[in-house]
Amino acid sequence: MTFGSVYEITNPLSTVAKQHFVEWFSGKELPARRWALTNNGGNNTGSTTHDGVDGGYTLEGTGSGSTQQSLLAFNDKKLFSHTGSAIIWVAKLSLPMPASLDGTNSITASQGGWGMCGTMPSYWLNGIKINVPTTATSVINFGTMNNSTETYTATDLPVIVAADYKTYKLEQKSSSAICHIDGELKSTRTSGLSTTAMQPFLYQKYPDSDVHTVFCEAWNT
Amino acid sequence: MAIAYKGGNRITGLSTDTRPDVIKLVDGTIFTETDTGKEYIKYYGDWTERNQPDNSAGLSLNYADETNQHFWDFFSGKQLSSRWNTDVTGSGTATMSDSINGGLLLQTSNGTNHTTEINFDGIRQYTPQGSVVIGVFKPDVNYANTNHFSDVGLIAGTSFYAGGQCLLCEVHSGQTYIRFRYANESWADTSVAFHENRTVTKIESTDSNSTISLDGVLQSSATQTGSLPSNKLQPCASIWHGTGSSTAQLHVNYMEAYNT
Repeated sequence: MTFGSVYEITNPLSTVAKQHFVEWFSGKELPARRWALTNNGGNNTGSTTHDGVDGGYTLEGTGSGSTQQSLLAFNDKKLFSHTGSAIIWVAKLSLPMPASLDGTNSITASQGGWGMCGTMPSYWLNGIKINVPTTATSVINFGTMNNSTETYTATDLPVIVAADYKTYKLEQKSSSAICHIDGELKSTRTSGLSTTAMQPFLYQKYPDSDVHTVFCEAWNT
Repeated sequence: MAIAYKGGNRITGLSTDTRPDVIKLVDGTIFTETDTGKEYIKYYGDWTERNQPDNSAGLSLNYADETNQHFWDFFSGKQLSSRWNTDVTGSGTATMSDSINGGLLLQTSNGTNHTTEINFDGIRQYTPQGSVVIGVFKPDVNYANTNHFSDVGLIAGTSFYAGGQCLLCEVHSGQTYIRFRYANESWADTSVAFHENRTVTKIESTDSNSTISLDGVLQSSATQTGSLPSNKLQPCASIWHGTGSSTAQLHVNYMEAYNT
């Protein structure tokens, strides 16, 4: 199926499009007028477009322990609705080596995530996110965040799955939030939902956590 | 669930159902799998999936060969993309809005004939008689004001303020209808009454006419067959404050232009 314009790929001309954006993370550098690279403790040393096949953009930092937290977002331009929006991230967490595939070696210093949130640097408030936590025996979590706390539902995917690129689609509705991973419904949450407008965000925590992304798209529904 | 025959040559069923014999169906019949959302269309004796995503943005477009000049901008992020030039006459700003569906906010002060616009700084890559521009915008010009107006489309001059040939969708305070500004200081009324709602406009120029559509409806009353532009064009979005105490504003959510 073909379309007359890029506009018509996502909307017929009889429908007035709402806010929408697409980012492929390709080129010599991050589009610095779109994205704000910051950190909440530690630094963002090493964060760059990656010179590698499917390298995309890598979010890194070299601070110590859990205080190391690099962040990528829109500098608090919150264009997306907490009652009707969706975001797709294609991302992965590069785990510290040697990582155990069978879960016998606990990975104790790795964490990252992606989704939408409220005002930075409080990326744990007012949004929806995928959280890839610290131990090899953990699973990928889908979380919702309101104005005071974050709560999660575990998916059936072990954390090592997040070491390869997956397509994460997170949808925020008026009374629920939905998570698809590689097109498969993984979780629906109805509590702890955001109470404010949102912006896209990507984060990494601990110095050995490198979060890569090759695609992000968000739109109001 | 059994196969169900609907009106308008539409059929529904499950992905596990055998789609009906095409010999008995007219070309263009659509079969929708209610459990997967996939749609199939019958052409030339066979069913073809029609809403299958393509793996290429270029191939998703309606070209045999995606080689013509083309751009689009979603106006999302912390700042306006550096592809745009901002021109301000008097005082005004062009900043990303921190609001749901806010996009880019162009704003003037309340000085007489102050304007704020974005353009390509005189880089004119679009054909005067063979191009399309699409814009999604929301003006705030207040009908009661004098000469407050927003314009979205293509211009031939160095800026909108400088004048010259143009193809623009104009929402002008005090005017009964949204207008097609098809040439310098020349307008044609559309059939859409003045409003300040978010709107999608598509303006297309050919060697025989210039047309404008609003929210997908061709405004045939505004179609132009004379006064066609002859100079190359650049994209532009502009807000103009005539007189009065209030400021003038324009939210821009999307712009796309391409040569056909």
